[in-house]
Amino acid sequence: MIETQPLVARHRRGAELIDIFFIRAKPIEREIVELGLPFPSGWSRVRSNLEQVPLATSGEVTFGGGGKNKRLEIIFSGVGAPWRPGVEAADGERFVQVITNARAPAMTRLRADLFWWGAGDKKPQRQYMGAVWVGPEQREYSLWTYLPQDARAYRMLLRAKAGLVLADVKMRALSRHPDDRVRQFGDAWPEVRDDAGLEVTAGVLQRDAKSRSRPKVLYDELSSERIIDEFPERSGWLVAPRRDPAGRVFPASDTYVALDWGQLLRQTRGSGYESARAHRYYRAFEDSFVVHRYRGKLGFIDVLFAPPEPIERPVLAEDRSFPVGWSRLLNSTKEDDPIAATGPATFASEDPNDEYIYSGSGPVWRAPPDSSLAGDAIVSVSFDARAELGPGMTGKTLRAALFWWPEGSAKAIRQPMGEVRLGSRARQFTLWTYLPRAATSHRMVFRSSAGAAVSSVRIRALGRVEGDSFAQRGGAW
Amino acid sequence: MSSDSAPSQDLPATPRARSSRRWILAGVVVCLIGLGIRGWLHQQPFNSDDVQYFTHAQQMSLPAINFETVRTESPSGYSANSLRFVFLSIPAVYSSLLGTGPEPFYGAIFTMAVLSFIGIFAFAWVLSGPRVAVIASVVWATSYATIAVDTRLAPDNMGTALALLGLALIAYAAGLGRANGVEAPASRKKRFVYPALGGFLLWAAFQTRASFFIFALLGVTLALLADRDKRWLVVAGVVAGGVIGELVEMIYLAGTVGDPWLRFKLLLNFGGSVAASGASGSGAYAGYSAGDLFTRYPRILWGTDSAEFILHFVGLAIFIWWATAWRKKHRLAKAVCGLVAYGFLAFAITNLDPVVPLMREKLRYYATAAPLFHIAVAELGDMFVFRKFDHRRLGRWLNGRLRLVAAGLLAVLATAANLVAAADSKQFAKNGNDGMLVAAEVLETDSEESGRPRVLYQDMRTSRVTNIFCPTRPAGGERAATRPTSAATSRLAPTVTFCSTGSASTPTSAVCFYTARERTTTTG
Repeated sequence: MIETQPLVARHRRGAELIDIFFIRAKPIEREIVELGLPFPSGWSRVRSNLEQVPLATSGEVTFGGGGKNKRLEIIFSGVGAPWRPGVEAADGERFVQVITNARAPAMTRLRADLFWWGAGDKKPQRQYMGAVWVGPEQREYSLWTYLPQDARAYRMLLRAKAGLVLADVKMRALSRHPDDRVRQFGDAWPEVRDDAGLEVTAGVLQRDAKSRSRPKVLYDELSSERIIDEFPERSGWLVAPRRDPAGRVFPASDTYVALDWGQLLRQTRGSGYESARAHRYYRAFEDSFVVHRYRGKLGFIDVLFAPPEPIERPVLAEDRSFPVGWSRLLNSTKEDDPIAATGPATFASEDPNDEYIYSGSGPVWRAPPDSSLAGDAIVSVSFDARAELGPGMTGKTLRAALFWWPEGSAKAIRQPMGEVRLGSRARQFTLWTYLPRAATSHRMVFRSSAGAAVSSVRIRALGRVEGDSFAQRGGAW
Repeated sequence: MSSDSAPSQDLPATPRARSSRRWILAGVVVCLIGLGIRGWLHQQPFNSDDVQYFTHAQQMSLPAINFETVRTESPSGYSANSLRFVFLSIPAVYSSLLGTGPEPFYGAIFTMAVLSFIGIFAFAWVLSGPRVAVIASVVWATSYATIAVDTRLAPDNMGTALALLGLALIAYAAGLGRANGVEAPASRKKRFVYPALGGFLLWAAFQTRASFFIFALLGVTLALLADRDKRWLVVAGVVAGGVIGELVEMIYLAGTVGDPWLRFKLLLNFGGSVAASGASGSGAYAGYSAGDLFTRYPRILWGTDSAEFILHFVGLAIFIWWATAWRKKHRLAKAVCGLVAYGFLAFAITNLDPVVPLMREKLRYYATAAPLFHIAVAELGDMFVFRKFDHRRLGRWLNGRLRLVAAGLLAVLATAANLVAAADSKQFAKNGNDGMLVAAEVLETDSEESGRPRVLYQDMRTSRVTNIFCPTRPAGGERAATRPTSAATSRLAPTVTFCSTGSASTPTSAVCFYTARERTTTTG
């Protein structure tokens, strides 16, 4: 079913799995990449902790065939550890499927696990794919799991008792479809979460509500329940419904909003409605009080407070000069050229860490006087962006950062503004950061990889209002 | 034994009544704690038997809704559930009050848990005294086995509760509680009515599950232990109660199934099937020796990794001690109940599934004997703490605070071991067995956020479970609507066991179960 229908969620309890799919009248199409060599080439059997024997290059494979452990045996794919099945298919953010043709003299359980390594990992993560009961009649069985974004290499393990015969095994990588929601429960696959960030956010909410006498209500956003779980005592805190009885959606009024951008982006990955959901929040800072920004390993967690009436934040300066005065820098070749005066600025380098598109010129660039950005203001950048996506790709990441120079300093301070996930359709994004008082000059920098295109960039400076806090943790500014 | 000394026996009526109220209050507090623990851990209505009973009960109370029930047919061709209406009436009442969804399930299991408490408390009060009743309640509240059973919709705990309550009434009328300060009713009328009510409850237990028939025999046995002058009055009461119950059932069966003799036909068929399978050497008793059957409970309890295993052997020792003191009628009564419940129900007929051996080892079967073991343990605890030892040298030590500390320590250890085992057990929703609760929530939020149609694909094998969690509601209602099984949607792809895309022509959601525990072929 995973091949033809979008996933909604998977729940795991021990060996039991419950999957939820959304069945569409017209099946979806996934990009399917066959992995590895034809079975059993490249597969090995584990005879003991120290002895691993490569399988023959052709023919059927019987579990327990000649090993010391006649009862239970493991066979696994790949050579060496970590094993990279191929650069294209090794990246995460896709489903991995194993299809076997198997039979057994008596009903025998065949279990599949996926081991995967993140970048630089020596120890793999183990991920359960499921188990099937195999009978005397040779049949095709299929098991799958989701390979998280961080995975760079992986290996398949099949485990069964002696006697089970594998006539054929195929490993496949299936691309993620925009309609997939990769929610999991019960450790079906590892979910990266920033517990420290949630804890800090809970503390901020608690303190701010007390010091400013604001209502202890948290708007029902992605992480609201999890953040409230972090409160040492949940005294008086409520999660406001996402949709109030009048049917209004964000911005909610008289509530706190905690935006876990890292989590939100992990869920959006080109998916239609969730992208739209993220878009609702991009400009929330404009009419809400900024309470706190936490910068963690997964991204920002912003805390805003939406007052009963939207605030009107003064616009101090605006720069619509793009693409005039913008340049492109290739780090590897040190080429630094102005970008074309018309059309969108398109990234050309395959390496997302190599190419920069940035505003201004010269080592310390000072904005024109009529668009100067004095410190102690919010700097926001709004832009339209899209990406050319190759087969099997669900999106591209684009990062923005503000470089600023204190008075008399030649060395810039880099301040991240966040990242967005670009789909094939152009969308408008807005990112922001707080420009500290000491800043006298600045530069806007975009970073992405080949195929990403940015246009209609507008940089604005928005004044602070009574009620903003601009507190931060983790070096947000 | 302290209960023998009956501290309140010679006191005037009013202080005794006040004392009784205190013990009852203590019992109620313990009951509430027990319910709290069960609510904290709880199980979702997902187990096959639970779902079957619950679906049948919903069908009884909400006949207008098609639950797509897959009925378990007995060998005689009748649904065995037709004979469980006492047991099924509780979820049926909750369904008629609360409608569809899992809420009536939880209402029913909490009611059954309360019944379990009442059964053990009443039995212990009459035959061991109020103090033992409260201690036994504490063991019930924290017992791994009873927590595991009370959080399921199964006849085992309810049948035991009804049987124990019935036995308590009979024992009360028979004067077996006299040694514990529980005087038998003075009037002849009450000496008939109470056993009759007890007999009726024993019939209700039997109606819940046929293997509880053994408790009916115990009821008669207890009645025969009554004072010589009232003995036959009590026996007559028990028999009358049972006969009234059976008549009620016959009238019910005549009205619903059209065959008042269904119960007897079914029983005869049970016997025939068991005999046939035994004779052929395959089926019911396949692979089980008498030794296996006798050690069934210890093996089940060993697998729980809880203190239940130790409590079980302590309880067995007390059963034997009660048996050695058979001249005291209340002890003889308890010994008979304990040993019979252990012995007979360990061998009782539990299932007629031809594929699975009859004597499957399930913890819930232990629920039929567990209360008697808990009362035995409670009585040992009571004796250990309150009995005065006459020994000249040892008495100085044993009557001091030392044994209080030791008893407290042991009680804490046993209770904690059971609670820790329960708190870690994967069968409870708290520990991850919440797949369908999560699935229902995900379907709800997914539909709300994405605007996807609130239609759930069902086939014959998933509809029973998904119907509970995502019941059919009017369009625009709060819950996901389910699409009833149709010929088109039930055509499954050959490699898919539990769910399929089928030939769904409109967008739907589907919930697929993959379990590696059963011998079924699953694919994803």
